[in-house]
Amino acid sequence: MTSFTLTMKRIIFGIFIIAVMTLTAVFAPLVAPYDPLEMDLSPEGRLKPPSPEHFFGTDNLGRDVFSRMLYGARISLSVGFIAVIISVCIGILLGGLSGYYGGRVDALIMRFVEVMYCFPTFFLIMMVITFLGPSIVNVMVVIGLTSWPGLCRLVRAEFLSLRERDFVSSAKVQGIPDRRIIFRHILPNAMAPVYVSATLSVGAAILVESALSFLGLGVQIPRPSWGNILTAGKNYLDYAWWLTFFPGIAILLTVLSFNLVGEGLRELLDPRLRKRK
Amino acid sequence: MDTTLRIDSLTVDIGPGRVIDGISFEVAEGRILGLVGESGSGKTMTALAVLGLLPEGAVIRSGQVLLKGNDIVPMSPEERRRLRGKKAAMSFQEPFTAFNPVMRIGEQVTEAMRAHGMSRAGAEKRLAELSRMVKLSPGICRHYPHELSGGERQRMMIAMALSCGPDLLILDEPTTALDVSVQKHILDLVSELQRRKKFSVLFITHDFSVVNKIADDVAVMKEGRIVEKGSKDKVLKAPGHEYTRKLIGCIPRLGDTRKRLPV
Amino acid sequence: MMIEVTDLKKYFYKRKGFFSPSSDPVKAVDGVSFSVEKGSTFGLVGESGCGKTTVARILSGILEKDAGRFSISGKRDMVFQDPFGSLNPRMHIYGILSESLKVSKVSPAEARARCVEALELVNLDPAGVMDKYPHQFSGGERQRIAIARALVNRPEILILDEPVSSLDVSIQAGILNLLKDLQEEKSLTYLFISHDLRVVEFMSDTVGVMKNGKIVECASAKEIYSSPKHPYTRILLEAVPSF
Repeated sequence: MTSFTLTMKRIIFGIFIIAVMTLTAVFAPLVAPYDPLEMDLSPEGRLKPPSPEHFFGTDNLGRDVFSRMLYGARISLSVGFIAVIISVCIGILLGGLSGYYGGRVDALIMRFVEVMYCFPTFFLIMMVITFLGPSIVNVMVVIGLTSWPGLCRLVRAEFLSLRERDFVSSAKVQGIPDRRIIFRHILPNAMAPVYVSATLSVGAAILVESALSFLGLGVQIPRPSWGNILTAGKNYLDYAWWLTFFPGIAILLTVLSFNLVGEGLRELLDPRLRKRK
Repeated sequence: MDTTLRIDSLTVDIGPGRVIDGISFEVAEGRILGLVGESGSGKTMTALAVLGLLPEGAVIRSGQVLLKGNDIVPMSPEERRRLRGKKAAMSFQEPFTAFNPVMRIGEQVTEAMRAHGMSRAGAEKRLAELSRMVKLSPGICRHYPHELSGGERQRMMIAMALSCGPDLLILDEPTTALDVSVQKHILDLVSELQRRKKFSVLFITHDFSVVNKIADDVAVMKEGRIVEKGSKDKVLKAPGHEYTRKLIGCIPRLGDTRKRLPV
Repeated sequence: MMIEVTDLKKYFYKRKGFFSPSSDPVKAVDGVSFSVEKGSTFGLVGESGCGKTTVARILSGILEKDAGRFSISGKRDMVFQDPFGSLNPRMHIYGILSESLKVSKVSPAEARARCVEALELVNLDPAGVMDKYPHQFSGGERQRIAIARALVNRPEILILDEPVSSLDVSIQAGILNLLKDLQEEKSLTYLFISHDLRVVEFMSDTVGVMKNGKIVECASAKEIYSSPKHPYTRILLEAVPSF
């Protein structure tokens, strides 16, 4: 019982943080007190510490960090969500085909998955971005295209065990077409681990985006993203801590929240753990 | 006649539900009691209560469970643990899940003996003795559970249960997961061991024909209550309770000429 | 003949290890032949691993045969052993029952009528059942729902794979009676598969005893049980505890 309420608390905390982040990101233009690109190069305007006027202070070009963070949240969250949607779609499609049909299809797809696993993903992403040129869309697509193998294996394993279940056999006996068996009978029953993995992946994708932007391969200045705010701040680490502290905390909280929700879902959806209730 | 196990108006709740509702019965020394009931009747719960292994959330509301005259209800978990194996031991329905898949069968049996303070050499010796007792070659102990057949696993379960020479052996549906021909061997083995070693048996099953083959006494359980108990001949030949009659009647027999079964 | 099976074979190849791609095949079904008359029940009995379920799965189209022939003259459907596993937990009962009708383009009104009819045949109250989900029913009720699903397409042949083995004995009796009633009412042909000799005798007109993928003895139920010819049949019969 106690472990159940603890799980619920974690999930609710995570969802709360994610909801706050998402809402402020969506309504950034309404919430932000300043234009994120508006500079104030006067000596008094630059590198101002946090104050009621500028909650998170200003940066080296006199821009309001709080406003930049809000717009940065848009980037980080949308990269996280879209990259994961791409990866889930590919993972389900290939994992499903592999698990349902087995044999050659399975062997082919699994070899491909192994090849994908062999590349150090982050360097692969960096390489591709260097070729294609840095942009948000490229970052989303590349993260999505490289992060599906784990999910693919997960879906395949679910399909492998579900296709042996009697309700699937029964559907076959009744002449239900394959496509319907996959989408109506197997997939809905295979989704639980997908939700868990997808939630965890959002956090991971946000982290990758921040890292890319930090290295200058993601969102290009002057457009703000949590990663490139950090980069700008690193030169002023000694006397303008707020430039790195706030984006760092934002990344940490967001990734932590997605992980809490993901792990919580895993506990809720795992039938072995559920029985103990 | 002495009693090995005596349960006196035992009541057990799990959450808001009552799983055992004031049952009383006894297993006399050197006799086999068949506890018969359908799924959900509380028969496995009764066995777990005797061993002090009730699942989390189960509460004994009242009653006594006397093993050789000692009431285990007020005992601490540690005291109960010490009794398990020596006073009472149990073999489970599905021997495949009851064994740890990554440990050799022999290690698992000796582990139980070592936990009760036997030396390594003594345990090894006893292991060979036990496997011969259940009519398996001692070499089988070096194998992993999945390498054994269902019948062999069940035999090893029984060997493990007998390792510390218990006064009471509890068998929970030991033959349900097995093929009929294997089932027969296990039943024969249990009767033979019981005759030789003179322990008492609480035999849990849903099948009256198995009871007929092996038991001396019968208790019939339904929805947490004992609806009928007595000697096998009395209960099977002249069942007093309607539920007993129904359970006996609804199993088709060999050479059955009935067109329909009573429901 | 409603079912004719001739020399049916199915081998499974199990990979032994990485370097030995395939070992000797497991001969799950190794030359099985039998036939079933219209309106009668053929009981296939044997111990676990004898291949009886594989035969059922080939005849129902779940598995491909490796060799031999079989013909099934009429619509067939199947009932599985475990009613907890054979109903999709995420679909309500109406969805489960009507699915195959929907796929074969039966009009919604007609589909509804057929589901009601099927549920009434298995003695369930259609109004109280259709909107619920499988987990809301007991094992016996689920098996009735599984039988209803098999009846929705108005089959002539039912393949029953251990339909009562996972049920309590008192529930089992009800399902066996129901199957007998349905057979009489609709003159259905049954292939009844079970490991329980008592149940098979109770249900069947003809019985085939299977061992290691082969039918070792095949005769009328009466003959098999009164004068078994094959030693294996005798061993099985003697092993059944009687009273």
